[in-house]
Amino acid sequence: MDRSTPLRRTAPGWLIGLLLLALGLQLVWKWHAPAPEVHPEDLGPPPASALMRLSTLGDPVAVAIFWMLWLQTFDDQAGVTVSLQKMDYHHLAGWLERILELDPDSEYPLLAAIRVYGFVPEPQRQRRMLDFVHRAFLQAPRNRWQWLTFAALQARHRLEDGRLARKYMDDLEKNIQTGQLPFWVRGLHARILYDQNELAGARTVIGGILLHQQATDRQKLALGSWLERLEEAEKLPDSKKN
Amino acid sequence: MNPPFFLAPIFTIARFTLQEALRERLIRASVAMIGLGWIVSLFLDELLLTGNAESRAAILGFFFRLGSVFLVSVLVTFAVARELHNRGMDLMLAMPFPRSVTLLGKLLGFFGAAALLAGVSGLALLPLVSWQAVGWWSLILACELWIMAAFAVVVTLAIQQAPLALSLTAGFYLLARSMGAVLLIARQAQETTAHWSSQAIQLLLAGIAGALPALDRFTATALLVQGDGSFAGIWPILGETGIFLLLLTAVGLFDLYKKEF
Repeated sequence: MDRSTPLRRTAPGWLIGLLLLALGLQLVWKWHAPAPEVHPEDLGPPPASALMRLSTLGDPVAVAIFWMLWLQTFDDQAGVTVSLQKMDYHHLAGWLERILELDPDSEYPLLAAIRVYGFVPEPQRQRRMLDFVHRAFLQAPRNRWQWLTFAALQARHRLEDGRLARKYMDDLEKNIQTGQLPFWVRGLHARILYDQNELAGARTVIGGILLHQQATDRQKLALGSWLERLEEAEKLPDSKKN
Repeated sequence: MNPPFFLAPIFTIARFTLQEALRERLIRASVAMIGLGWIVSLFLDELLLTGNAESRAAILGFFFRLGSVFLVSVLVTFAVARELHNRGMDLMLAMPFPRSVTLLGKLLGFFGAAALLAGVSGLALLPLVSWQAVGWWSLILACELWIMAAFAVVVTLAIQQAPLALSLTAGFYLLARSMGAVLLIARQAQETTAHWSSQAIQLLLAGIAGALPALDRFTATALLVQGDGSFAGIWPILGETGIFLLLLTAVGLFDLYKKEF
């Protein structure tokens, strides 16, 4: 044998045959295997708070984002898209609440409730989301007042439920010190009260704005003329108001 | 300036340990971890309704923390196990200095590698978070990595088998990070049922928690999101790290002095 050519070892023929046979069997097996079936999953109830905390391994801020992403993509399951209208909103609100407990400074669950889950064209489900935002606001009014304002707007314009919008705005006014709410929020409160024919209430709110708020001269003029109109309207008999 | 005569061998062993760790492609592994972390964070950022620097920093911080702990644990476990099997440890113990010098040198070298990893992870967060927050975050990560490195050294020297040592290190890490929540669950259970068994379980859990570092309090992700930090918030972590490292070193020395090679 020529010593300059390196020795090449080859596998025996039966081993190559065995390899091809195994590969063929694997392919045939897979070919005849049943196709994967689509099983859309329902959103179950959230785990207890303590278990949720355990799942974070001591890092609630980051894990709250991962839980939120999981919840957000729940409607897009493998091979099937579950409509939000088929999701259990009672469980959904529970999940959002648990995630908010993990990171109370995060506004993400509130944003998702208002802008994603609250946009389903079904009043019952919308109400559930608004209710979740309301409860979250009552836990930390100073940090979450914006979200209750959005909830009031949604109640007024999408649900067309002026009473609910007014309830939210009343709670807002009750829980946040006068002067700390921006001009537009208090203006919205006055407008909602006016819609509800609560002219005296609207007048009080506008008076409060003029007294405590740093409104521009133009805004003060507009509010002043509105106040005058309200005072005139109050003098009218009930049948001619609004 | 040369170190005092009794510290010189410690520093020599530490330098060689660090060089060995760098030869083990620590830098390349950390760069790969950072690259992967950025890709994952960019992908998740696209999924978020409001992608912003804070949420990306939180995701990256979480990823780097887990990745660094994994890298340090694997590096230390396999380095110590290889030295044991190659008889390198025997050679070192035959040198004319006490066994404590060998262990302290090894620990110091691995601490250097861990600090390097924490620093590199911190640098990768600088585009998103203020340097002060990154500084505190990196310091806390270094503390966590030092504890993990010391635990991996001690446990690998004790059982001398890399896969088992690595499993034990992973178990220790998971337990140390979840013990706070486990204690809360036990306390809730005790409030609802006053049975002696639940009291006994809580006592047992409190005992286990007492022997573990509270790694769940080493969470620095909030620091990245809020972008601030202070020494007042960090010193309990530094204190806990110091005490637990002392404990681990004592356990390691106890085991090493008893061992017959």
